[in-house]
Amino acid sequence: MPLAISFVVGILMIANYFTTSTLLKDVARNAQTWVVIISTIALALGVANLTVLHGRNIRSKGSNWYLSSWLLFIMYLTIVLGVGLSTSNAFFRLIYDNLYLNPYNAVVTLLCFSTFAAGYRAFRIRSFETLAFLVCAAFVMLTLAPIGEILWDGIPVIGSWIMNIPSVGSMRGLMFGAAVGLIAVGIKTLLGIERGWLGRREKA
Amino acid sequence: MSAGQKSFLKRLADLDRRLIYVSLIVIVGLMTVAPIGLPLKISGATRLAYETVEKLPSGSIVLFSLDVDIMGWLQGGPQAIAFLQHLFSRPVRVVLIGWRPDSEMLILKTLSKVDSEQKNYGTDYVNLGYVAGGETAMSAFATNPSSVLRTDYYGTAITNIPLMQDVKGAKSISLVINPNTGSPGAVEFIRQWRIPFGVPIITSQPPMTVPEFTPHVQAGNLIAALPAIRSSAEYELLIRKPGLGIAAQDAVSLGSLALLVYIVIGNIGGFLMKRKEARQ
Repeated sequence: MPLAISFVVGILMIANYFTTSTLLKDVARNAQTWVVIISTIALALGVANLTVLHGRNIRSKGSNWYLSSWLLFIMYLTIVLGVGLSTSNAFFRLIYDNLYLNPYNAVVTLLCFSTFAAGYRAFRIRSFETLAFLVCAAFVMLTLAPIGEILWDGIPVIGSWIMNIPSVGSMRGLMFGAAVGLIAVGIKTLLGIERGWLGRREKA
Repeated sequence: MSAGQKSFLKRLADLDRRLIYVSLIVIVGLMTVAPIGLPLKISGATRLAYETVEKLPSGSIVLFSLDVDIMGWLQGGPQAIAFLQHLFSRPVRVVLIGWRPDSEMLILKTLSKVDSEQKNYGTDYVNLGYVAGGETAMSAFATNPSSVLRTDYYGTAITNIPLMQDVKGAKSISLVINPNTGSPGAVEFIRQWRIPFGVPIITSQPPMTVPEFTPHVQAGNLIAALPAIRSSAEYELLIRKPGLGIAAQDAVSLGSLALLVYIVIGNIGGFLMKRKEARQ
């Protein structure tokens, strides 16, 4: 049954993309509306799943159970505030900015330090390829920073050439390969050959 | 090689990471507190994006789709603010929307940072907030917006919003501006808006993902794919509203230079040490 549904809906959406039939477009539009509704329900499913997972950890006093408690507390607090007061409410935005956005960005900026240290240790010239890699990386980095054009006029020229010619050429090849792979996976999914998305069945 | 020489070369090749961290803090801190004001050249792509917005006829409807997540806000945020500030300075109408859960709050944050006093909500701009459903919802919105949402972010029915009476789908939209980090984003817009309906798209991306979108620019699917941090500074210069983008450039410049200097030092130390050991 799920395979039949995925086949019919898949063929419908493909046909809708490539044809101008009004009947097909109306049917496809309805199907798209159902997907939007299901996606919204999936958010609620995610909340339920987190509650079960972390609730189990709290009940059994598992590892870092206090962090699970904090997660559930903050999650439900923001849900109640967002639904009750609306997400444009000043208090909700205070929590969002000061407990989510700013701390998250602070953690992300810590990556800068480890990237620096890792770059210093990793970029060691051991062969011609690593030398070429380092030279290209240097030109691209200095092209994206204003100091590059101040040091030498040629840096942005070479850096832009690297970004627009060899980099794009290889990216284009990767994109073609990925697109062909995606088409193959799509056909296998539609025909029911690829069934991983159905989930595993426990053997009796 | 003497023990002293070996020790110096070893230290050169294996610098204490605390030295690296402290120097980075000093450089970035100094540049934030006392920026040098390094000159900045405007790239062709940023200028093209700017002129595309400048040439929009009066009354055009622009879809401003903010698909930046929390992690990408530091990069994409200044660019999004610059884009929206420019749109609000033009006689165009703006539909704000997002297809990622973080979009809703980040749209509010962006709106709070731009000057919207000359604009009337409902006639000049509307905030539709976050629409769940990813690419499917983008496709549905392109054909029939009322199939994916009935109200704007503030709960007003879209049938009561004057601007939304003129938004019948992708065909009503003159331009899509999509500050983006990840999916759904520019690629989905190309598939669902550009190819079927021919809507022009400008996107900004984290610098490391711009090469992914350059083939689309060269194929004509995108007007421009701007590298977020650098292009935000350029855009702020063009609209004459300096902001976070320009403020970050000196720190980015000297930070990049410092990294290259450390890499060179490490390689020199490692190379000299190997040569000396080989001779012995």
